[in-house]
Amino acid sequence: MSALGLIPCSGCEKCQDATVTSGVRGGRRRGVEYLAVAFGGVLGVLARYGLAQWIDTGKRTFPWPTFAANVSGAFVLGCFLAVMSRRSSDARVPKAFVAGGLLGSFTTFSAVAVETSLLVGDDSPLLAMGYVVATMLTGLVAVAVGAALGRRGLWRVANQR
Amino acid sequence: MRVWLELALAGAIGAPLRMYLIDLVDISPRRGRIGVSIPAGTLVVNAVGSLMAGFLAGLVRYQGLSVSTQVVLGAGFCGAFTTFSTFAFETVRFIEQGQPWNATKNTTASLACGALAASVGMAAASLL
Repeated sequence: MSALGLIPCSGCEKCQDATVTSGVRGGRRRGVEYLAVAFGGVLGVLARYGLAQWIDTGKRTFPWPTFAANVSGAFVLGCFLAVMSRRSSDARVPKAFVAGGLLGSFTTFSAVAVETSLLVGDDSPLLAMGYVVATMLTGLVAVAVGAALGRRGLWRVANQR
Repeated sequence: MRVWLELALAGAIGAPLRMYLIDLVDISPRRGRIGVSIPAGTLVVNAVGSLMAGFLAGLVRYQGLSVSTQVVLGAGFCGAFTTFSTFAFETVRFIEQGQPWNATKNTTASLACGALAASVGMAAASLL
């Protein structure tokens, strides 16, 4: 298995070509997968909106709500997929629900793009650049750290004491 | 209360639509021919969603669209339709597969397309 456990196996065509919610090569999407994604999507959107209400920053400042949602969502996704890759079944419905629906909708790319161009338009190009770089770096590190923890097994860490 | 219901509906539509489009792009037979090594499905949905979200932000700024409509369609629908976590995962997977060049390409392309799309959307709204 790979270092972070994000690649379930090497050389297998299905895994190499897999999308996050599991590869379409494994057969057509079933209706239940769309249902799972839709349900997860509802929860993800509401959670992100709730977070934004809770943190709520003003204009022309660092967009903390989006940043927090994206980084935490990336962390959980890394962890979840690393845990799932330890299993032999491809578990398409749980993956569709958590990875595609819940975390896919909780995190957002469009808000990053819009907030960045608004900051640039508001004569805060440095803040805009800092926001983008911080989101990218922290988000990628979050996936890796989450995956490393997931691979080691969070349950074992919890049971060590 | 009503905004939560509308947001829920936006998420219930945006997320499955994203999965459908990502599948559609990633299994497209054209993909191999144009030699796309990066996950094109995620890139496309993120760019399209950023375009729409930029357009909505522009409508609020220039055309007086209500912020509550922008919340539902922008934060709700476009937010659910686009995704950061999938993008981040696919980028880290490139690094783990020993393809840092593809990780760099994916990050740069996603950022450039997203920011450009949002700006174009916003500019388009100002021209209405």
